[in-house]
Amino acid sequence: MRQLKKVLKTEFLKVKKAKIFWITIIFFSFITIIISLMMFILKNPELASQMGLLGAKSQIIGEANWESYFEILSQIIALGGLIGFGFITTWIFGREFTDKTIDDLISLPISRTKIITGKFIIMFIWNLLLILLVLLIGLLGGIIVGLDELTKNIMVSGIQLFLTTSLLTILVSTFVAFFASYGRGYLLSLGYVISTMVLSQLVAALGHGAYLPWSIPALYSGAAGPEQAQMSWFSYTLVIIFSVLGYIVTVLWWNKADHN
Amino acid sequence: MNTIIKTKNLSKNYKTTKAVQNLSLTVNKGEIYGFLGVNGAGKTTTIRLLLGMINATQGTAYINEKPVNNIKGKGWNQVGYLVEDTYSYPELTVKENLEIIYHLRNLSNKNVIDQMITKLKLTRYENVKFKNLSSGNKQRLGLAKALIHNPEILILDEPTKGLDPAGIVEIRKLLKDLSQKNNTTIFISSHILSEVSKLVDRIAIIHEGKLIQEIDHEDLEKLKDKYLLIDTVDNKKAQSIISEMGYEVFENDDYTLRIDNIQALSYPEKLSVKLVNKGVPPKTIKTEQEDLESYFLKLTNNNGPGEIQDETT
Repeated sequence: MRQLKKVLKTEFLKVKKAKIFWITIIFFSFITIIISLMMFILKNPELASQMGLLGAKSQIIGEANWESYFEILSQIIALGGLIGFGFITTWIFGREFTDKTIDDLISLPISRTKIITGKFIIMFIWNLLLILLVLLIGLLGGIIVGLDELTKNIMVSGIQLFLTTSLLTILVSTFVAFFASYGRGYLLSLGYVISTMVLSQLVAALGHGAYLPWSIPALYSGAAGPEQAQMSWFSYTLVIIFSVLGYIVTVLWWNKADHN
Repeated sequence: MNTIIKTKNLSKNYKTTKAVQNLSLTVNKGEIYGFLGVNGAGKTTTIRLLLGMINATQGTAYINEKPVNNIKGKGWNQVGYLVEDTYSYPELTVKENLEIIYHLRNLSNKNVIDQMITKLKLTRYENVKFKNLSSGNKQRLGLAKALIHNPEILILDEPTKGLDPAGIVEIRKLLKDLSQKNNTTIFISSHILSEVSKLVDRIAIIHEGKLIQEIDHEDLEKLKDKYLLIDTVDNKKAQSIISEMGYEVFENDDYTLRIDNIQALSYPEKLSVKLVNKGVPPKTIKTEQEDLESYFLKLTNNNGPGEIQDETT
């Protein structure tokens, strides 16, 4: 545990000093503000015609209420998170190869498994921070926009939907770490992230999304309608198994591969 | 004598390339072991095998009599290393980069960071980001990272790369001190032959992945060819006089004359008298020994320029 703490300290230092950390904060905040703005437009239809594309897009959301607002925030995390969290995972793992710092992480008194575990924990914390940021800005945005009264039930179910979607999205990101390691940099894993997003949309559109890990977060968020949001335990188990597999293959690769 | 580093029939293949072939060597405690070879000879691959960074196709590398693949935990804290070009986190400062290694080495006395900064003369740059350092200072940081935990064994791949001449001398002194005062075992690879010859106790020469010679530094001196170097007022005339005496004469790039003949080497005074009598008195006549570079080229049959360097180049 002490060694893992040491790894976390190093990973924390790396993230804290990286521009990319602040870029993700700005990006996720910006997206949330845009969603709040769309809610505002939806609440004030007379503004829609003056707001051009944003006004038109706002009509897609549906109604200007807290339920719709939480749903759209969850859907944004399910789709944008697949890219955003994938990008973060790519950076955490791939940078060691791109910056050629991998040699410093190999022949150490701390095992490679602990180094990888530390990286996954940092990835989780970073993503969690972004999720909470989106939730906080989202709630503030909803209040400022003046959506209907936020009852306890709406808030609990809304936050539950948002957090579960977010968690599912983080869980399906673990394989990105493997591709960033195997590809020894950013390119392969970013290709993987984009491919999975396209595939998840395609398979979900064909009605088989419940059997594809990358489609499950979006389906859960209600992106394909309330019927498809009702998935069996199989889908959730699939996400968990897929996530654990992503962790295991990454650890195995770091322990077995040639680092040259 | 304790064997600290050992390889036994160590081989590494990459598809069709045999990077290291049946390499067997031993390095004893407190020894500075020079590992020489041209670029692509297999030096870095051997170092990566020694550090357990890559898996051997065949054979085993041992550190402190343990196969490197079985070294776990604290075992790696006995080893400090620098592999190929030194890299650190570009957006972190010198001090922060050392902090990273401090944590990863599981150290408990934070003063070692400042001590290393002072020792490697990085005080002025401690708050400078790695990406803004000169190549010499990047190398110093790499060495600081290798030394921060005061290891018993140092495995260094081209440690003076990028350093200026003063820096090279300084690092050489530092390594000598570590060997003499702390009894640190140092395995140092280089293609800069003069650097190695001034530092090491023993030399291994690797070529095309194979160990072609392992020799004590003192024995190496005996193996290197001697020759007579002559410079006269008229070297053209002197060359024909010496040839008439039955000796084979070579003209060096600087127009001085070189004679390898054992008779001439044994009795240089005879040659000198002859030249005086013929009206071309020698300005210089001395016995010299071939340098490590020439010996190395002879051994590897490698005449390609630029593959090996003198530190002055």
